[in-house]
Amino acid sequence: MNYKMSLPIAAVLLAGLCASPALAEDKGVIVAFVPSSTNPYIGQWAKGAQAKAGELGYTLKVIENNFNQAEQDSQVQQQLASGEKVAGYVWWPFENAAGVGSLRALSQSGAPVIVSNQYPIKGTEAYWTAYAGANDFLSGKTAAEILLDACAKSGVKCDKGAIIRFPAGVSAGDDRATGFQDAVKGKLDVLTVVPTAGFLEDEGYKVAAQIIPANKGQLTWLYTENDSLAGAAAQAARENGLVPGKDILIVGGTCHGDSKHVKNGEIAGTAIQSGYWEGWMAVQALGKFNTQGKVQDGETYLADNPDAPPADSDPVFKYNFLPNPAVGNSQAAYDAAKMWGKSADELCNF
Amino acid sequence: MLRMTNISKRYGATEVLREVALEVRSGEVMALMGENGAGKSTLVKILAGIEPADAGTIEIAGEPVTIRSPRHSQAAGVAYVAQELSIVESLSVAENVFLGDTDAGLFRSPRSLSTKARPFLLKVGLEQVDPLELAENLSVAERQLVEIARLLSRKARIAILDEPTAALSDAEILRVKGAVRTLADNGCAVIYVTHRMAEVFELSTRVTVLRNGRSFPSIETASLTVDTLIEHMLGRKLEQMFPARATRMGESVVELDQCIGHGLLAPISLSVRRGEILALAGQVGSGANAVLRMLAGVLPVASGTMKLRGAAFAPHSIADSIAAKVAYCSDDRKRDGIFAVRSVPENLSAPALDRVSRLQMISPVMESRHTRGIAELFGIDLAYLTRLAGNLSGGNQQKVALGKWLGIEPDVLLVEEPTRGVDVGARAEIYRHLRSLAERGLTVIFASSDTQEVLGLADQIATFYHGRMVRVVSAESSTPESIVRDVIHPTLAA
Amino acid sequence: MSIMTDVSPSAARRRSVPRFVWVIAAIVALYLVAGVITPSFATFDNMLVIVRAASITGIVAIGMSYVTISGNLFALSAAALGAFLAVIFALAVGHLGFAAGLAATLLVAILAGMAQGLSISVVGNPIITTLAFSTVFRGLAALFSGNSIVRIDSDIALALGTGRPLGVPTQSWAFIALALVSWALIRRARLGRLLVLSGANPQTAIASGLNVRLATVVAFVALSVGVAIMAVFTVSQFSQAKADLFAGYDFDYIAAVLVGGIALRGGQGSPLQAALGAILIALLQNFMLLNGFTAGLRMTVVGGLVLLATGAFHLLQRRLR
Repeated sequence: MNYKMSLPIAAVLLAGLCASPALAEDKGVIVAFVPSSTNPYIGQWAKGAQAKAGELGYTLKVIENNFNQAEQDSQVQQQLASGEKVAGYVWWPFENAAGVGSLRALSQSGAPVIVSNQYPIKGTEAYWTAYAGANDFLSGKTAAEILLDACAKSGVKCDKGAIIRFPAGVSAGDDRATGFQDAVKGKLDVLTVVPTAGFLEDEGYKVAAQIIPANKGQLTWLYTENDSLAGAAAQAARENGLVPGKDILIVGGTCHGDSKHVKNGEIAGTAIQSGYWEGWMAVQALGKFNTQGKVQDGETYLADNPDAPPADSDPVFKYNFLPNPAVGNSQAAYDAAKMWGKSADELCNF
Repeated sequence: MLRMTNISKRYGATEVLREVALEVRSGEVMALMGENGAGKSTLVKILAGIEPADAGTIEIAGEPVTIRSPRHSQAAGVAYVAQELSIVESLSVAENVFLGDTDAGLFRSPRSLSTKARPFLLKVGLEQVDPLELAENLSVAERQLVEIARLLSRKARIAILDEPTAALSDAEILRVKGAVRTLADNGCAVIYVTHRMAEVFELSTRVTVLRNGRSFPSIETASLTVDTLIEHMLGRKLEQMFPARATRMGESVVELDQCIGHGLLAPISLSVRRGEILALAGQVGSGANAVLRMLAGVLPVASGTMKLRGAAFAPHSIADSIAAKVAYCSDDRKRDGIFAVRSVPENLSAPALDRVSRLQMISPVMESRHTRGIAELFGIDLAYLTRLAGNLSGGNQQKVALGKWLGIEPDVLLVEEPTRGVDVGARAEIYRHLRSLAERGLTVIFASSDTQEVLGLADQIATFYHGRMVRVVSAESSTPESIVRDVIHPTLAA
Repeated sequence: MSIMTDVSPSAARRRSVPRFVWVIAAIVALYLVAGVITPSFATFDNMLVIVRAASITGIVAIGMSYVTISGNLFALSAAALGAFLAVIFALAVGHLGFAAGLAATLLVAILAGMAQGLSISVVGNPIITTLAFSTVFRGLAALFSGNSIVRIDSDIALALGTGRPLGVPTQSWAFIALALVSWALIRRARLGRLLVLSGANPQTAIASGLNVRLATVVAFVALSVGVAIMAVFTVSQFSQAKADLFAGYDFDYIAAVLVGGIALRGGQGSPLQAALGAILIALLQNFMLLNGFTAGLRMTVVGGLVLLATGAFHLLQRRLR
């Protein structure tokens, strides 16, 4: 069992356990099940969730698993067996499909369940109250729009290209690739879709450094599903004599990793997908439901207001999506970009 | 009942059995005797189907049989009790009696199985043992008896007992002897492999002697004396095998004063001189090896003091003894004598890496010179230097295991069983080289259960029996008979 | 007992083909076959790409071969140690500059190697010990990095990570140099001999007065240094380090050692074989990547290659016995 909790979370948890229910401030405990925060994005998510929970008067308990669904399942069993009264659960399964049993068990406890980050599987609607998190189709679509826009602007002839995607089985990878391909249908020619073995620079470089020379003179664009992979692909392109932004257009579509490739124009642009705000909005959705007592059918994209986060009084829908505001590929554009009152730099460089 | 003729067997280059014959009648106990490595175990393993013979025929009750596996052997009515017992500790005594008996399936219940087992247990003198008791609660002797009860239950026609009393006390031996008599009285042809003279004379009707892989016609036990039996076992051709004895010896190099350690029941005092070869003669477990192991730093000295070149010597590890120029070669060459997967030169330089390297790098020139030097001293064919040690014959492996120590220029060489698993030709060579090293001032102390070797190679002989040193005698004044008496049964000694 | 020859029947034809020759043959065969199937494969450029792809894995595999040769099977802590050292390097470069950062990383690597080697001589089981160390290292990486990306801004580092002297990436130079140096060390250095003998038969080594414990420590220090080199190159190339770097790579290092034909029993083989194994795997990976094999299929094929190689080497060994 591997409860890796950062010290402040543990401290808050202790405080939560000790606090008596008589305190008017305390609205109860929210329990979030997430993979390990050794992944920086998940670490950001936990920070955002913590911030919103504190603001709303909840105590947040984050239970991390070490990227292991079996471990997460047993954590759910233990949490339920403890009989603790909770204000609600937040569910981020490690393996979406494999975790359905645990999701069902959580829902049967009677407490509201907010699903985050992993887009729920069709047919499980009865097991969760609302989804609040990223929309990976949207991420792929936004990336496609950035790319098409860049093609039009730069005058580079865009036809054949390749997708470097997340490892097989990662649903975010499937969804982003689908969203991207739907958006470029009839406009761009996808030569090949190559999965990596990971999400970081070293893997992105490994794959890009092999497919770029193999398709020399053919590739005009690359979509890599995140900016870590995109930055590494830009490096590989340069090493193969291609100037990113001129000979080849590269887009990651989610700011993740080093922003320097966006700022210096090597990547055609990016979009803010903030782990911090995703955690924040998941807790907000739970808070909304506990106050308003109802969920509206359908979906909503929260407004990507640069200066202020969405109000707690807004209704909560069955699907609540995190916006992916696009960011231009220059220092100025990057500096100006903001989402919900935080700068791109704060949200992307964690 | 049993007639084995012209049985031959070789392992690689070593001929273990050559045209051996063995004949046993129903109802008799045939003692199978011979020195270590004479081929006794191989012969009975062939009969039990554990090892295939290369040539020869086996007849049981007049019918020729082919034995290629233990199953064949059992089907032919042969039952084998190995030195390592096959008692299953987690099963009951009764279940062990009927272990592997396919007919036993008809009466599975513990109660009926126990009723069935009782008469057999009675016959071997285990009447006081509850058949439902777990076998793990039995003593070694009782387990041995359960094995014999199993033989009885199977109505074996031929029973092989391979050193059944090796690990037993005298009182326990009595019970096993009784059980063996019962076996024979039930019409079984019993082959009894042993080292112990007393048992041979008490139990057996006839004796077959194996020597160097050959058999001799069986002899009625009644016509033998201890002396004539020993003569048969040893043969009479020791002379050409061994080099001459030491002509001059120096001052005392190794001294043990009232030393005792694990495996010894009484304190040992010994003194060995420069250039002397001392034999520690004894059977397995006699304590002879313990003396070597104390000197090598492998076995702690519980009490007493050791001296090396006149100074106190108390090694705590092999590295300590090596630093003091004392080298030790155990009797298990494969385990800790050689690096089987490495080449001969790498084996030879292993204890002396500092002598073949310069600035922490191994110098091929120095290593080659080192290797050739040892090869010359120890008669290792230069053609073998490119081979892996594991691919050499036993004799050459032993030369490597011993020879590697010459690299550290030791003052004392401690060797357990210097020629175990070595064929006769290589033995003579090893003896010759050890003697010539002794003549250059090396002190050699070796433990051996081979009487020929003890008598032929050593200047002085210390005999051991059951953890005690019997006496120290000069080799000149000893005879094979006197040594064998000392190490097998000192009370028989005059 | 008349014939007393030492030449057993199979000894005469025991001039066995060294294992690394088989690996080279496999590399050449695969290269030719793949070149026929995929035209873009058999080009000089692609050959460079393959060596580059093999470099990072290969550097660690060379280190891993020390552990295997010393008779300690393999370590399951290399990837996690890599992440920890990457974080240490990034932090140290940020605060102390490149040279001091490099020195600090090597120092931590050596200490980590010694700690593992000494623990194994106490616990006795390298697999379990390194498994435990793996979680320790990963945890330390997370703690030190505070679960966020540690960035560096060093021109020397960037030059080291992205430079191409004579058109060949620095990583590949390091890989080739390390393979040759390690090969010489195992063959010629006294410590190398100690490692080989300790792996060949630890009991005989102890009985010969050799320090087997030292051999284990040296082997793990060598592995840790290899891991440190990988970490330094990776951080330098991307100017950043994260706690979840190299996750899931342990099998790749072990696979290279096994495909290179280094016997798991220890005492045999050379680091050069691990390097060749890494190249063979990179070659296969490249071929599959260019032909659009999915990641799952690629993993299956590489796993199959490991099984095939270990099985084939085992049979080869038996036939020669």
